[in-house]
Amino acid sequence: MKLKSVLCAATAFGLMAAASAQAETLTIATVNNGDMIRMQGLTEAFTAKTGHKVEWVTLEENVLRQRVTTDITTKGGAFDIMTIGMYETPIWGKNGWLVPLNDMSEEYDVGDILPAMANGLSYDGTLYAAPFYGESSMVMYRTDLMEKAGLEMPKDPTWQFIREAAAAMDDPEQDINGICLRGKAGWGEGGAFITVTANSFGARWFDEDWRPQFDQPEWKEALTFYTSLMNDYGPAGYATNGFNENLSLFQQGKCGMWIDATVAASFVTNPEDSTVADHVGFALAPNSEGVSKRSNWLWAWALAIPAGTQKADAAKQFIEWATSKEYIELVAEKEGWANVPPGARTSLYETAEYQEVPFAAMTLESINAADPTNPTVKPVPYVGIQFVAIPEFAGIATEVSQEFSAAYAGQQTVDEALAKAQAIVNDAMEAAGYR
Amino acid sequence: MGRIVLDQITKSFGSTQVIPPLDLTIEDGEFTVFVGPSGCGKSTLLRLIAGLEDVTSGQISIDGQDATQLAPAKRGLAMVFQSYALYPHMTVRKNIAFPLRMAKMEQSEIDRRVTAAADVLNLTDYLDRRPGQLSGGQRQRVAIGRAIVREPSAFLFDEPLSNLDAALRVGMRLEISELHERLKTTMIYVTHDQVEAMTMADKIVVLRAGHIEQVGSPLELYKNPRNKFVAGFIGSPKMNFIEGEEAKRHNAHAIGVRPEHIEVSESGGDWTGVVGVSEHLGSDTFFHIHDTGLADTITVRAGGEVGFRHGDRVHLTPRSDVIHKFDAQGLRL
Amino acid sequence: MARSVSTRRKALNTIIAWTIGLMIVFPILWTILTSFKTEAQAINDPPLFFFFDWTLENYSVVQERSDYMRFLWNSIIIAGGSTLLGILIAVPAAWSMAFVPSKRTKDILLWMLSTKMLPAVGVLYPIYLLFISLGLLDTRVGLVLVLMLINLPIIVWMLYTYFKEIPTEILEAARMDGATLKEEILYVLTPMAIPGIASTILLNIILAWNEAFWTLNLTAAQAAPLTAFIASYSSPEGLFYAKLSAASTMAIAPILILGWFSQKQLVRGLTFGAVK
Repeated sequence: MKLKSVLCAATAFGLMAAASAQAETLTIATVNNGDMIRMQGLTEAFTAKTGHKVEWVTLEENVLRQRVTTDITTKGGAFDIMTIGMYETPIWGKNGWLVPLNDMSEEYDVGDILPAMANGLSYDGTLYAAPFYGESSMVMYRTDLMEKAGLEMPKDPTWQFIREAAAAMDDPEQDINGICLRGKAGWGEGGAFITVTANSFGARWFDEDWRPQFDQPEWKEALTFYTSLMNDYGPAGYATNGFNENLSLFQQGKCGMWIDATVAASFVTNPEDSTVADHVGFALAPNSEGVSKRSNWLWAWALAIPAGTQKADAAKQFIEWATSKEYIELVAEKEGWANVPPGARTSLYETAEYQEVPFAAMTLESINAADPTNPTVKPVPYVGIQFVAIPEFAGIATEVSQEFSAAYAGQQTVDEALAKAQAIVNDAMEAAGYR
Repeated sequence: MGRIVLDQITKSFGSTQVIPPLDLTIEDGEFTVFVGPSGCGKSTLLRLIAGLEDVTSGQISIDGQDATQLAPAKRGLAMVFQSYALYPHMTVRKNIAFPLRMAKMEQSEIDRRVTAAADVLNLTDYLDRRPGQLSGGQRQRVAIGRAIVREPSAFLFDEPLSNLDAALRVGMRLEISELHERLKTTMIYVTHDQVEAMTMADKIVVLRAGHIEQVGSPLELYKNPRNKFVAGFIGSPKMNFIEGEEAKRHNAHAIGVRPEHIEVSESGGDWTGVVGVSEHLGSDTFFHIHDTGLADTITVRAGGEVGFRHGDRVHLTPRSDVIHKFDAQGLRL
Repeated sequence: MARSVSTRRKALNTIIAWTIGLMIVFPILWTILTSFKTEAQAINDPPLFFFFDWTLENYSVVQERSDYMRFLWNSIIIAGGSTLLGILIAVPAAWSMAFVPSKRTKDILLWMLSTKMLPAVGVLYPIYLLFISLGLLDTRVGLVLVLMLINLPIIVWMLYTYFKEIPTEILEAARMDGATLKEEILYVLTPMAIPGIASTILLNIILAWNEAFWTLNLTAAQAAPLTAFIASYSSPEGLFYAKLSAASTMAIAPILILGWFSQKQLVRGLTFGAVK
């Protein structure tokens, strides 16, 4: 009897010791956006549940990308969890830099993750990062101006209609631009936008043999259409506008339409920041008439575990918590349904309360319309919609988008820009050994 | 106490030899002046003795001990620099006390010595000032004060008066001479000014291009210069040199006559010429005589009352017993 | 004859000087103003200058979200530590270059400066790997070391220039007076170079305070200074200009105050030797 209780106590003590030894401090690298900041405020719930503490390193997106790339390629181990995107995940997964997330718990319900997201965050069928939130792109337009122009936005507009609507809404006297679109150089800024636009005109970056396709008529058509649309109805200096510049213009009522990330919907409909909050409608990203692919992209900010970490188990616990249904409910309870991270889980869009959020349905539809493994009309050897998931892409796409921005700014013609793009990509791909 | 012997010392900077092998002995208590035109190596020589430069070869001994490899402070010498080199952030008191502080001397002893030095140098009222608040002469005295408190075996002066105005220079010259009289310590004094050399030195060392041209007492050098260079350098105004026929008459390549050894008169003499510029000093008058057929100009020193004018034709007569004769190499015959 | 300047000329010069001055401080001023706006006012077109609803909300949001004091403390240690360590190393180095130059001194000085010509990112990987193997990643010690090394050429150059202004004879006098090398540097050279050393220290604290490449790339959570604090408020997707401005204002405030109080010293040090 006595011996038994001693043994019991020893075992209990041993378990306690084991439990406390496992209380880790996780360092998480992340970006500065509303959903991530909200999560930082809620991590106490995680600590209370598991005993693990969390340290946040919040950085601007491009700084973060450079920072975590350095750390992961050198196996620095500075971070236990990294916030990465859909572009990096398959590349890093392929290189063995990430811990596979193939053994998530039953209650986590991997199958609930939106298939488009799961596909984009996997390599060779293995999930390497769990989506925290996902986004596509869509048309946001001013319902009041549309009405005034006597037009009605279809659910699935074409570029030709968009041009017509832009012409109708454009009103320089009232300081209203028919349309605002990204033109800023950078692969994640204007580069992403022109790539999806090109997709919707039937163009592609590479053919099956990794030959660049900028010399093809589809690219010329897409780029010509874009520049003419923006020159006619876009804001002055659009060649340097990115997401934030357009958001600012739209919020101040200076754009008839804006085609950009679905995440912008919550900003432009927020009456605190937006002067046009009550007059915003949504539609699918356009395509050119007769082209089967639309110009909507797909992106996710996802949480991944670098292979160098010593705390993989605790990190996995955190990811399960942060991307779970439970977390979504926690946010809904504390901050309201409009503020839950969107675009990651099917079940969210089945929630009755969430269906009332004005942009929820269009966001889901946009995400579902995106297929990263089959992004273009003609076949391609790569994965990714607004990007090509190869390590060289960020560099070459930034160069290409610089040539395009120069064309938007009127410094060169569309033909010149395309010719240079073709040369740049050709050289880069040859140097990288793709051919 | 302060006998300094230089034995075959040389100094080279890179491949240029600035001091060829040189021997020199400075006796204890002697006031020795190194004099020569600028660039003659006199300052370098002083810095070698001080230890601020290392000799390339040869040996320096101080008080019979080999000091060649000793650090400056270990040589028991004190130096007064041309720019005074006072510590601008310290008061006069601290400046003077600095070497004693570095020697880890007791504070009471430091105070005693500083007070004594200040007293001797008339600096008592300025002890709490900074060098920036002092006149040139006062700064010079502080520099001397800093040197004497250490009670060195020899003082080294590196053109200490060249930053002072003429009147002050004469005063300080006397003060330094008096100091030497009182302390009886070896002093080595570097100057390019032959007047300072003549007035202060027990022994003058005339240097040219690193070579010692002649060593001797001021009068010895004045009376028996070993060569044309020393003859021309010592004495003011400069000795007149005459070559050609007139020199041959004295069986020499060149002859030298000091201005004070030439008689000038209206009538009758060995040479004739025309008066050019006259410099009236009151006590003396220097005449620059042209068109003698002997040299471009012959300088003559006459009494203050002698009053020839520009353009006057005059006759000159050198004193035959003090005509210096030199051979083609410039050496004294 | 004194140079005469007409009143008109003076007025024109004054206007030009003020214009240039305002242009220089305008970005900082604008940042500070923006920090008191709401996000909507921050992006208002036309821009709002003074007539907006002043609010402290951004500051309270920033305060709530980030542990400012931890970033501040890291900045102080990193900027102060690297500068002091740099000075300790640079004083003897600059002494030897200024007073016992060798044939190679000029080359060494140029070589030191040339290390600043290489973009920092070029050596990021070697240094990162070194930091990993030395266990210096995300430590203050590591950052102190790396920023010290980064700024050392500038410190040495500045001190070298100041030391060059000091007459060699004074140091020789100290040597004659029995000062050891250490005493010579400590009692004679350093006190004489105080204005120069002070401005070197100040300039390097400012440089280290604002250094935003290494401080971002070699830290994570523990040693991150205020540059990381600012970076955490920058976002390409979402308009947080007012909060970013509030964070920036909080980050530059300490160094601005330090600079303000020591500007006399700084100007004196930077123009030291200009008139001799």
